[in-house]
Amino acid sequence: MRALINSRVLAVVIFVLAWLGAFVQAPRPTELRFMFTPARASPAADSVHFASIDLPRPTPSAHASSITALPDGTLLVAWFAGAREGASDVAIEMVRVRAGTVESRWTSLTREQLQGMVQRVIRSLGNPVVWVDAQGRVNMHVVSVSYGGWSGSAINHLLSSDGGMTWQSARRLVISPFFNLSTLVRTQPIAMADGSWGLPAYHEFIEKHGLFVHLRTDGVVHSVERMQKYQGGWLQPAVAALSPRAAIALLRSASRSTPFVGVNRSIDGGVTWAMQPALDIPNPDASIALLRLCDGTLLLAANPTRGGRGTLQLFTSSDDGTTWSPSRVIERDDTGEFSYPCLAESADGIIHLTYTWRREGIRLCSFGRAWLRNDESTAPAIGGRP
Amino acid sequence: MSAWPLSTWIGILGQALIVAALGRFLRERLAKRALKPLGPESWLPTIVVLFVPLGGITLAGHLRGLWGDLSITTLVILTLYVIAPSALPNRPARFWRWALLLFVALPLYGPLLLPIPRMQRDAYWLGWHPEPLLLLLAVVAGAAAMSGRWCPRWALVISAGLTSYSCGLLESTNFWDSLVDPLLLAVIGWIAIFPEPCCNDSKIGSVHTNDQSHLTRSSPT
Repeated sequence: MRALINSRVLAVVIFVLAWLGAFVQAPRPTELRFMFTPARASPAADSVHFASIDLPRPTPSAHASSITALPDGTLLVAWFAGAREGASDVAIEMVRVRAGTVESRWTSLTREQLQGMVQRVIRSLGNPVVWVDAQGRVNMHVVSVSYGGWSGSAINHLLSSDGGMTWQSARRLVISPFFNLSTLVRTQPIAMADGSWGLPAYHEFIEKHGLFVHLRTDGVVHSVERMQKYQGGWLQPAVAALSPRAAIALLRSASRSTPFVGVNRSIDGGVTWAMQPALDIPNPDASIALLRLCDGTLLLAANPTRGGRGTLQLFTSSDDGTTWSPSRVIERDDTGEFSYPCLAESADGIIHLTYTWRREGIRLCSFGRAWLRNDESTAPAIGGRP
Repeated sequence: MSAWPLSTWIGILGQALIVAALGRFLRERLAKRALKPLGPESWLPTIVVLFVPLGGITLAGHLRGLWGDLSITTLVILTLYVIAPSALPNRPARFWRWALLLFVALPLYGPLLLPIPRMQRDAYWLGWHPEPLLLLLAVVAGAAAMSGRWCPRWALVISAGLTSYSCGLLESTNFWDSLVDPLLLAVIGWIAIFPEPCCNDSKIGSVHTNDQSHLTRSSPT
């Protein structure tokens, strides 16, 4: 009887201590702020420079590029490449570009390497997203599929101290309760003022919707917020900060019946997201890219067609995304596919755009701020849909 | 291998325990009697799952890719079943089984699996901000203690989950993932919907007073 009482008392003590430990560790609500730089004149404000190069094509198929500017002034571009999308030989290819010339190319990550790092079977890789943290380390979020198609995928976070040549650690991001099914990433994260990061992500099993994943400074998930959506599926949010507390997210429609660019806005540091009227820019079922330039202009790359991805065009907004003006057309060929754009701005003010070129390779375009102003920009501004 | 974080080792161990427990469960069913702890039906499949490579990765890696990692509570329950069945907590009473199904499994997994509208903030979202869940747990535990339904073994199992959360032992930082997982709730759902006639629907506060009691049990939890 005494042993029974003692065991009950001991269990109470252990439970109370464990509960207190969990309560102390539980995250408390904090006022989140985006890393926001006030608008200033672009160093390339008057530059009409434009150049494009085709990045090396070591494989028959290439898709879903991501670009970031490294602290040494070079550009790092990553994409997935292999026999075809979803094939077992798909790997993450990377190049470093300096002054418009490919300095080096390497296969940065194979599925076998990731499999060994996360100790899970990996059937295929996809959608790499590269970015540089405050310590200058290259971070990569990459989608992997263990079983099934993209709907069964998960996000992995890798960290490199040598510019993406090798990866020191890999960690699976768990953001879904049911076997962590169907979480994907496509667009760049945005920095938060406290050194943490906000990663736009999405879920596409049964229902497609955008997510905003708040990552701690060590890359571990702190919280996940769901974006609002219209009828149908909306995914691949691209986020830009508009002020220390406000941000805009533009989303890809997954349905051809709603072929527009979706909009969510947050006014509390990404804690809540509210649906806004969709942009009147047609973009049926195609990934988009969004970037806030140093002069405060928002730059959007989209496929403004009624079907297909044969036209890739830039749009600008100088009123935080309320109205948009068409800018340069980058590619136009109804028989081709010019898709999955990604945008970056280097310290010299030059804007860089990478995109999938006919699924055969990745093309990199670099241009000055003044190049964006062309005749088409005088066309009437495009507002939100009622 | 030494570079793997602790969460990876815990994940691999969980897969081995699933197979070991399944082997033990099936052999018990075939033998129609309880077996000694850690018989060959437990350690043989464990070795196979942990070390036999298949397609460049161990079987544990295949299973992790299929259904992910277990919660710490499931890990503790499976460990007890394999190595010390006499220490297992009693099956949850019928009330608790249905409560877990209706108030945990349905809100967590229903919106993902059923074609019902999802809310912007659901039950899983609470796992990122778990203060209300912790307060609710404290109320339930306090009520159990006050009403004489306090079960030390379940308290210890849940304490392991709480400790795992506060120490960050799993890949997931969501509170729910330390306490429950689809496998655990599926088993609870199974025994809720198909209770065995021999099953003792004891109150959650009941305690094993006989260390041999597991020898007459026919199922693991």
